[in-house]
Amino acid sequence: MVDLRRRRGKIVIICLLFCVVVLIVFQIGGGYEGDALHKVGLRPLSPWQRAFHWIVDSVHTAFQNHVLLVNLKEENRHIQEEVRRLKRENAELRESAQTLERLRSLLLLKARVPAAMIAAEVVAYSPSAWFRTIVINKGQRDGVKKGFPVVTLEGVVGKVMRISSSSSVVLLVIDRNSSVDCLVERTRMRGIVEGEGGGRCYLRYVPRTEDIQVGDRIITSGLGGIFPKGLSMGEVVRVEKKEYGLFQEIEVMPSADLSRLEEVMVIVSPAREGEG
Amino acid sequence: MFKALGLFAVGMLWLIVATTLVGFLPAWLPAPDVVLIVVILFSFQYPLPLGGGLSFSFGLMQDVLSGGVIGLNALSKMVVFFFSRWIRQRFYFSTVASKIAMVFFGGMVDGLVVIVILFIGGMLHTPAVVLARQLLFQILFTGLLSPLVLVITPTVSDLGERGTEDGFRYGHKKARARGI
Repeated sequence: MVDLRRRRGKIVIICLLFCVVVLIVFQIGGGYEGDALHKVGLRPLSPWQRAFHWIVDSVHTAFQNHVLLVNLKEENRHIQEEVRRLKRENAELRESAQTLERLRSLLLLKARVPAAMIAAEVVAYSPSAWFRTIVINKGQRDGVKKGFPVVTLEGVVGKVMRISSSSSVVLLVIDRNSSVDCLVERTRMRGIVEGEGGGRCYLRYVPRTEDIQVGDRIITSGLGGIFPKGLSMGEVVRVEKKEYGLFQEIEVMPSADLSRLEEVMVIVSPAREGEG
Repeated sequence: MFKALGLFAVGMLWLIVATTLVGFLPAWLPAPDVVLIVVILFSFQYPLPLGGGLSFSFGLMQDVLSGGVIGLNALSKMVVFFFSRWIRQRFYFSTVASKIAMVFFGGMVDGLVVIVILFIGGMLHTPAVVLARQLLFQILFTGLLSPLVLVITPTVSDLGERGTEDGFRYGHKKARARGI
């Protein structure tokens, strides 16, 4: 007779594995998107993420503003104190100026793109290397919806993928699952910019006969109904025409520095299905 | 029960800290898989229900925080847990270096499981060469980070004294046979 009590742990594990396989099959098959589970999971975690982001940010700023300066000036206490005070003031002013500059660029972007926008702060990055995502501190409560585009003045960042009441997960353009309909600015040739999971993207489906050069700017085409037309996507950094195949391989460096995101803008416009 | 909750709380804190600190890395660097290191640690330290359950929970939380397919990391982390346990029960690991090597192997298994599932689901369009490069890069990066965690944990021979599991007993017997 099998002692079920002794094997309870193993049975629970097997049940969990079975449930998770079923869940994955449903999600991959398109029967379920997992939104409710994401929402339930993100809600209790986002306050902790924000709190820790605040702590790290404060420590980082304090380290930059004070500790390094103190270590560098040990020769003359008198001059040191004066220099430290001035440096601290300078650092604070510089930090303020940088913040102002970032906010000004967001305002410029707001003026450039004729759509309502919400400014949001990046509070966390994806813990999995397989999904290139960020978490922003604006969610359903602030009017953010699934599919809304996220941009900076430099260019396209991504689009909202999951939402909870107070935070959202944004799929970056460099993620493998991201695809955006774009144009080559110089030739007006259309293509699809797809992420490759690293720091770059590829412009796909451009015929090998097309004249694409390194340095060509890539902009959004406005087709697909998610990203407004004319937003900067990136710059061509490599073009390869193989001996076979219909299309050429074009590597694109995103305009926005996706590893240094602090504030982003969410374009509030009705999301439509069909792209990305 | 309290032990499981405590470990879960510490693990969640570790995961949240990692998600914040990853932001300081340049975009071309892959995010180190902090959960993988914890899973390897659990496979060395805890019995199946506790270690497996915690590995599953952390994988699930990783899925929630990354916004990806729910259950993908939960499944891959469970596979890594079982793989690591299987290896541990057959070989005697006493050094931190062995555990770090285990992180490399675990990373490979984890990556392969994820790739296979994404490939079956038609969610993978990256060329195989790029994918292989990224996988190796990520494993290397996670492996390099692992000493920070693994060096502070007890060795299997220490755990063998507790005699909680077959693997530990096996390792302990083998260690005794070797006169360690």
